[in-house]
Amino acid sequence: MSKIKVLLVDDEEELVFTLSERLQFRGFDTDAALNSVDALRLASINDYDVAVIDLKLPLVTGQDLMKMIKHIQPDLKIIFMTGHCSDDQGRKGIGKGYFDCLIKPIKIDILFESIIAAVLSYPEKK
Amino acid sequence: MSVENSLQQQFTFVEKITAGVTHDMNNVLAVINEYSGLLEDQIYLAENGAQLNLDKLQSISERLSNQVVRGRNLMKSLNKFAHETDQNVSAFDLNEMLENLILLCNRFALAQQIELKSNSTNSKIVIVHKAFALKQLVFNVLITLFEQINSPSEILVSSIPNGSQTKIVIELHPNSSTLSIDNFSIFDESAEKLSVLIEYHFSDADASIDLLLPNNFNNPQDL
Repeated sequence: MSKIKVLLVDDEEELVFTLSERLQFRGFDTDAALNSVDALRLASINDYDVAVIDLKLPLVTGQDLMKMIKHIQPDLKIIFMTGHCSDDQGRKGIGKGYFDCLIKPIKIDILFESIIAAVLSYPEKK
Repeated sequence: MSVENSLQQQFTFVEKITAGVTHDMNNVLAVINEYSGLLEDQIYLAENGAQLNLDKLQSISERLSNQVVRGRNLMKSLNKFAHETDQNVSAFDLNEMLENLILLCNRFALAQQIELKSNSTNSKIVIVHKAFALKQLVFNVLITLFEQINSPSEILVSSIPNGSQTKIVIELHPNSSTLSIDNFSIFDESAEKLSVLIEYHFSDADASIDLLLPNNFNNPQDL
């Protein structure tokens, strides 16, 4: 069985690489990108199961990046990370098309469960 | 400008600064959270028979300390900012004010892939002015500049004593964006109130904005 492949996108370098290492420790195959350009480049050469994207990225928003990535991988499940989407009002502001939104600092167990739930939500992967 | 508008602009300024710093602080906490989790993972490995990697622990410890320093600097800057909202004329170190402003503006610069740096000397440049209003003007000019930049750039902010007159110079390298002076005209009124003259030097390669401060050492009551 192949590993679950996760793309992590955040301009906070130490955060994204440490998160990547911790997810690898839990059995995921991860790639990390610090900006939207690198994220799109990775998404064009790799098939991911889930993308975990910070809502505030340089030059583009997380929502914009989600739309661009979905042009490449339409069914990709997106989990947003932010400091400000813990309540319903915050979530409504993000719009549609994402699987989950987690507030930073993120508990790794919650991110782990969200990634698994996202993967299980693919009909063919149930 | 009405008193109401002026107050509204001050609130917006404080709101933006606070939002930027709290966002940065949240990122500091998020990074500390991940390093803490990485330590837990190392402990889990050791409990299950793996040898503790002391080099890795040392590295995590150093990176945790760096984040604490980063957080402390942010809080110091915010605290200093909170104590500078006095509207009165006072004597202050312009270099220190600009250093503080750069730290508070960093989040907005990074959002546009701009490296924001101070280019001032370590020496003090003591001026007599309205510190909060001047900081607000420089902040507004910087934010307006950031919003017009659409490719990775570097902005240097420096203070240059020029006889009895001092100027703040904001330099953009390279200038690959189409800057328009019209976008800055909204600050003419507030600059005039502070007796600050703003000069724009935009070329295809580089751009600079000079804020010429008034020669007010002997007449601060004019401000």
